[in-house]
Amino acid sequence: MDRRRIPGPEASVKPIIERADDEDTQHVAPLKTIDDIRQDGRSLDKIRKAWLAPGIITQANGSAYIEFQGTKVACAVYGPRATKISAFSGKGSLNCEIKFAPFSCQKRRSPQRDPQEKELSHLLFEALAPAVRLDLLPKSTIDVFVTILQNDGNGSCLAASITAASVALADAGIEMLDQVAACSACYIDDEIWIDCTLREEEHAQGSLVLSYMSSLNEITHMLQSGEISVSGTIRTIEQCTEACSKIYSIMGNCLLESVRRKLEKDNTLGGLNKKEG
Amino acid sequence: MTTDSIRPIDISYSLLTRVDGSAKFSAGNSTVLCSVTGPADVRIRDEKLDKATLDVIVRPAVGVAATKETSLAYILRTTFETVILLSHHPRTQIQVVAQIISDDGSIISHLINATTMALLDAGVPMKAVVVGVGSLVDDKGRISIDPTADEVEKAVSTHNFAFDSVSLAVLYSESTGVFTEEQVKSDTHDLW
Amino acid sequence: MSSTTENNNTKYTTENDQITSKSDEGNSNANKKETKFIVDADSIRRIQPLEYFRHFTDQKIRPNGRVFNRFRKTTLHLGSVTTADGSAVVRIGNTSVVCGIKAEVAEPNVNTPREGYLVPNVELSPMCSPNFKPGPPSELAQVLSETVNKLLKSSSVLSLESLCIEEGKAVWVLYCDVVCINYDGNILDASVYAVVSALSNVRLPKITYADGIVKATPDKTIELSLSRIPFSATFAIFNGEILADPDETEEVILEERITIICDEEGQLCSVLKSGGSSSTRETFSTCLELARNRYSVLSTIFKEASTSANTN
Repeated sequence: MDRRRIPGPEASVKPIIERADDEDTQHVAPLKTIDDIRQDGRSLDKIRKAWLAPGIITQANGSAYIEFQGTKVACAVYGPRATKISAFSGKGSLNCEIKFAPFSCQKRRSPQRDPQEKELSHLLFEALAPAVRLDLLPKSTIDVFVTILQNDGNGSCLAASITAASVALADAGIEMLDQVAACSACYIDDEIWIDCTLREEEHAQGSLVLSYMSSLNEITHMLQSGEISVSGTIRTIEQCTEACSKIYSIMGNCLLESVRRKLEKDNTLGGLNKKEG
Repeated sequence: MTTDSIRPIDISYSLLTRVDGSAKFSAGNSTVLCSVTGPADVRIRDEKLDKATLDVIVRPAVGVAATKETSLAYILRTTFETVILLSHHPRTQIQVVAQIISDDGSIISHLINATTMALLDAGVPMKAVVVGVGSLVDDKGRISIDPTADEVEKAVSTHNFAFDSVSLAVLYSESTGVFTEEQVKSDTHDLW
Repeated sequence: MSSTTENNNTKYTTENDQITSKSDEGNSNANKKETKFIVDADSIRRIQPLEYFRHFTDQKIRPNGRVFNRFRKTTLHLGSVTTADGSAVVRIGNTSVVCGIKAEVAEPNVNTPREGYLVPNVELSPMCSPNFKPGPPSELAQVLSETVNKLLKSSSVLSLESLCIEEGKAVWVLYCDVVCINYDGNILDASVYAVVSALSNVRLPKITYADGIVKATPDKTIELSLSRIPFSATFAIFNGEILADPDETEEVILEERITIICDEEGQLCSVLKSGGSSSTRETFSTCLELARNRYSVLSTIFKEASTSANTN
């Protein structure tokens, strides 16, 4: 029993959702129509509408909040700050932590870190590390903390975390080779579906998460699981790359907008300061 | 137990030989044993350059310390930090360990009293003596002092206070339940 | 910032990286050859934080520009987290928290077979502030969780018997998890507001119990009936002055605090005071009045948020 939190009952379960008798599986809405239009109106190769805002966490050096409709992720970056590791290192260290909020998934998640979160944290590190200029930050550490507030697709959570972390690193002014945009895809009945929701993922045979640096045309990280043919994988990578480029331009626009706002604010204050001499 | 009187008190001190000061405070069936060690060495990460660090640990009568005990320790620490002359002993630690032996209502006030006595026994310099008292308002609107656990269970609101003996200022106050401003004022005879 | 210190007797200026100080006694042109000790305002803020703070409060203003009794801009959004059975996003100034409530079913405690569970939990993760380290909940997080728990229990915000599904067999458990996104002080007010608002936003399915199995309808329409809607107002006390809604920089240096939690009928649900001795009997009355005003402001925001959440 966790003695540092208010204890609840020893075990609790979600109630079984019972559908009325006259609804059977045939009446459950299909994932897509004949014309390949998904439930939310997208075609198979479109990502969900994204909403991205940097700088929302004022306490952090850099931060970002991203929403891909149902998937909501917040990221904060602290650093570069002095490292706690006593051994000298010519390169900085990047420490990533992903946490699901207890209310983010269908079943309540324990506030304690579980193996899935540890794995995702490591994947986030693998996706970001090639892009960050750690060699410019000896004896320092950069901490990246991600909280997933709402989960609508495990692949999209990881992709959103990578994207948000990249924007937050830029917001913190940490030098990078390029922004890392990430996108997820699923393989359902020999077709490639980009950016799947939780419901669509349940029917997938395989999945892929791709992290891509658009200007440099380089992939920093790729995670593929399940059953996809080799040609299928190559096609999925191509489609994900296109989707990542779209996300990349959204990231770029948001960062520019945020810098513009900061400069405007500084200019107004700068004008006042000049008057006072 | 009548409205205006507290339960019979029993205090004894210098009970523990391996610490700098100790005291046992009981009121009725509530008993708290408190020990104080300090000023003593402090961990570098807790060290304060201009003051002593006050570290309070509260242990329950039964079981392992949980959020409730952490909360009690927080109250003791923030209350005594204002009264102990911490700047007399910079870069040291004063550690207070309070063991609840039996809890029969308004334990925070007994913890405060036991801690005061133990600090006095240890000779830790303080601006004033801190006195704690608990009270409640029952469903008929009557106020009673120093309630037992059963009375607290049935109360509409409970009020715990700690006063500074010199200025009679309220150092700590915690009122929970459902109550009115007038009840709090008459409870403290307008000191608060 | 440096301009405000000029109103006091000692002028702090930096010239050519030399540290000098001048007493404003009319000798401004004299003694130029002597090196004097000047420290700029930002250094004073670090070396003598209380002194720096006092310079502002003497002018009846705070370093962040707010007047004493002003609370920061507060916003509330209900129902934004669709995976939760009820949710609230609260922003008080820069402090922002999200409370999500998940409802699950469990066996009741043997001693209380008709009572459900209300389990609040406040998470202060390293994401929201550089002061929090990863690991188990810090003392502050534990104290917050305990305070919210005590409030919900002692002022009977929700009757636990209303969470009963089948006596002795199945009851609702409402896990109220508060996640802090940005920590800029006054997390207690934000957490209480978030938990109470999220509880009002909870929608449960109709539930049936048969042969040890609990079944729920797919629609979530049942609201909780809250017996009380308490909101909180926190103040910091500095030299007898009451400062409403301390932010993070103020919390670090001002130890003395009062939190007053009242309900819709003006009754008090909680009065918590800790940390110092400069408050007087007038302090309590003044804080109470400010708390009641704050309640009506929060109540208006709450009603607007509820209406827009219900229409969506």
